[in-house]
Amino acid sequence: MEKRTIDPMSRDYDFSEIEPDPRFVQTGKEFWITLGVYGVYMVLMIGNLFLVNGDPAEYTYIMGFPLWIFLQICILVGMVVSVLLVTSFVYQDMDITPHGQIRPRK
Amino acid sequence: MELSSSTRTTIIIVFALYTVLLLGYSLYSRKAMKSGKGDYLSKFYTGGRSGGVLTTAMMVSAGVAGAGVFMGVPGFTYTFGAIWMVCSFWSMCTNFMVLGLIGKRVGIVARRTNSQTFVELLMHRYNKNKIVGMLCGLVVLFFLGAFAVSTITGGGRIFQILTGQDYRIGLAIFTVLVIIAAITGGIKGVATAIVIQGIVMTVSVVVLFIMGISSTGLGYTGTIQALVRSDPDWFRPASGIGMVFSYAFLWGVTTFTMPHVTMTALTYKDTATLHNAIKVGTVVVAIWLMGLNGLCFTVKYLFAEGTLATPDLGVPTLAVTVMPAWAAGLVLAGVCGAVQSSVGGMVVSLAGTLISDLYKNLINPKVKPEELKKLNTIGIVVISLVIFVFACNPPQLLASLITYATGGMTVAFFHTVLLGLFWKRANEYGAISGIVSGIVLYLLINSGVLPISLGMNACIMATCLSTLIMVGVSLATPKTPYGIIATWFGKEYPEEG
Repeated sequence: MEKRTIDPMSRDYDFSEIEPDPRFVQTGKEFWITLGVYGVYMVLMIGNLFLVNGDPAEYTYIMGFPLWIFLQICILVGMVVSVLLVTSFVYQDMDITPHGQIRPRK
Repeated sequence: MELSSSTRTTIIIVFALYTVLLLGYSLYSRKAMKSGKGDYLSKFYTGGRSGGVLTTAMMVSAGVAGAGVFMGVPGFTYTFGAIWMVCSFWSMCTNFMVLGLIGKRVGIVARRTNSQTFVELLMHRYNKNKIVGMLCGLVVLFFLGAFAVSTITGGGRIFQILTGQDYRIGLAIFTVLVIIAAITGGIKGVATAIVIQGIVMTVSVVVLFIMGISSTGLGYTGTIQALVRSDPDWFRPASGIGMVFSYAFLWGVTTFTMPHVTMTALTYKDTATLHNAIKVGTVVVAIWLMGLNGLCFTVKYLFAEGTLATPDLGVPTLAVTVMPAWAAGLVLAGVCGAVQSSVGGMVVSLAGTLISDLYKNLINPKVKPEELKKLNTIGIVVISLVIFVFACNPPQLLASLITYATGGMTVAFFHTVLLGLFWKRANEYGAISGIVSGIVLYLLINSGVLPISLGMNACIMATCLSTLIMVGVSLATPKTPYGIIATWFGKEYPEEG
């Protein structure tokens, strides 16, 4: 399609006339991955609190901790590890100057 | 609680040493303001966009988890039990949520639009609409102001309990330190102070945890088991899933709606810095939260209901009870560091809103740089003093006010930021209706006039409904002008002259 010049103040144009910046496409992906990881963490934490945590009189203990507290510690450590993994292996380096590119992983 | 005078003296000496160290460092680092490129305001608010790993990580961490992790959160855990422990861990993901969700996008667009503040950036996205600018500015002033008051209040109370001095002396010291750090170095001054404060906080949490858990004489898990037998109800969830989910949303996902935190997305240097800041920040906040929440078992075991002045003071009371005076002084310094760094970031943000967003962008665009510099200094002092005056009349439970303040910013900014960044169709009409309906719904649901909260915090339903309203209004009105959408989404965009 031929690219036409559009007045910056024009409200009459089509979004397909804007060529998306690949950096924005990548940050959109990172957005959903980030939210997804948090969602899993949230489900695990809430599920652990309401499903694993039963009657305190019938707690089972692991290494001295009530089971659900032990699991909570595991989930927390797991979350920290996943944040480290996601930032190291999923997020991509890119220029944040007005014009720029995604820098490929070495 | 009675402390011997020699203990008090030691605590005060350690605290004074810390204060002098911080003050000296603030004055030393003021050189940063003189060097560097850009005009005064851009250096003041964004530090020339050269924020490093530690400053970025600590600004986000201390901005969200600062004072709350030492007082409000352990206080609620003490009162309401295990359910609150789970809630408090949502803020562990702060760095990941703020910088991971929107950090890069905001970083690029802020450079394209040359925005100095969060509100200025939003205003650009919504067609430089003055009503959007004004609404955002007022929301920041009111809710972030409330947040700052509640934060500094908590710090003052800890100062009182540990030193035995008047609460207002503590407030005055914090206020003066914040003013000096902000005026001499702008955002960089606050940021360099935050790094020192963050390190002191982390060290003091680790020391307190190690000394705290051995204080019951039962061992750590022994204390938990004794508590399960003596106080089983404390371990049962005190309220429904709705409330836990509310805080998962409020303290986890929507932390990017707080201007003093989102500010870091405008100041970091490059993406490598951003990634490392997320890693460092997450680990540091995890240490704070696990250390302090882990101590709630000990606090609950040692102090029966009614023996604490207020539940907020559980952790500091533990500090003076079980630790030698020098270590308690270190904890006091850590807490004050947390308070000062939170409030410092907020004051710079508030001044930016008042002077740059409301005065320069809306009232008097032709203001001279020298005059702006003067106004900015006056703004910092006035805002700090207003916060001080409000804080002299402290509220009881700290965290409920914090929740109210963060809720207010959430309902106003959640949709305007997210839809603005990720949905091309969002426009200024939608933004205005979204902000107004969000605030109105929040107040109506919170006060019980509209009984539709479904057992969750009022801001959840308010956010959902006002997001729908914003989407509807945006679709019914014209698109945002081409130039803006190209700047926010496109590879090529028309540069402004």
